[in-house]
Amino acid sequence: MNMGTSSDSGLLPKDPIESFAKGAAEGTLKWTKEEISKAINRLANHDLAFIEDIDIINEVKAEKTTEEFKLYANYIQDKELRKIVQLGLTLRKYNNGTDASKVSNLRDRIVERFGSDGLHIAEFVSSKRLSKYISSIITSSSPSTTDISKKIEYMLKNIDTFTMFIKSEDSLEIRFEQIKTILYANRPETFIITGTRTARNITSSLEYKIKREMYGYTTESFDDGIENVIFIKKK
Amino acid sequence: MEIVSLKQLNKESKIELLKQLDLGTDGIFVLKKNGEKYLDKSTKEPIKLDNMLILPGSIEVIDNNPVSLIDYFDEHGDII
Repeated sequence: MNMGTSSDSGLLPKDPIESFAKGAAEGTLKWTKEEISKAINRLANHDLAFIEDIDIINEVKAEKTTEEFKLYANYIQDKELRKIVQLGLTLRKYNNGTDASKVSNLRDRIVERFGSDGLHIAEFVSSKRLSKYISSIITSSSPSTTDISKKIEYMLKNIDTFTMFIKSEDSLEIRFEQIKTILYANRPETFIITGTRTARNITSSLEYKIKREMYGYTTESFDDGIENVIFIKKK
Repeated sequence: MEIVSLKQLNKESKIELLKQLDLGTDGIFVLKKNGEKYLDKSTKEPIKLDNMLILPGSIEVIDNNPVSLIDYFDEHGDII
């Protein structure tokens, strides 16, 4: 990507590239019809691109180079899932920032493109539940890469079936009955319940009840002080 | 590949640029020749004049957001 040099083709006499690099004032560059026509020819020849700002492009490209994304990409073959996972990492970055509008805009775009399931997958990645899930399935046995891939893709494609978000106002007993019904009806290998902040008390109590009362399942929990994630796993 | 900042182009130049791509604008959104809003290929949402990217390939006007960019890079590779 060339952003700091003059056009060597001479097709853009006002040298917008140099102006861009030097931070020319917004809306000050004026091109003639001929200059625009030449620019479009260069666009068609893959020699030029018009962008609004470079930040989002750099963010999107940088996300793919992170070790975390490379780990996920190693297991996730489905191209659409990979895109959502990448967006989950971007969502996390935006969540950690100060611009709330970036978060809501990205969430809206994800829903428009991938539906509400897509957003739930992105949130699963953003909240680091995917990394915990991978860690959980790797440490519980010694599966092959193919087995891990299958499990991850199956989990992500059925995210709403295999995850439950506990709210602070939820009834412990009702949630426990719901979890029992899901586990006995569907027999999933892993079911994940999550609670944040005050709802963590409920998830902890659910884990206790599941351990004590549900035959055939074991649990593994992760609590970072903000979010409590319980993996309920078939023995 | 050279990069031109659309932010720095004045409005008249942006309008002429769209015109030469057989597109137009109502001053807020990018429009098709028939006056309908031009929709982003990925999100199927209208594209605002101040939030568009015009990228090589089949000369695509897309919305400036991570979702549309990921789809673009997936289709064309990291060409910018």
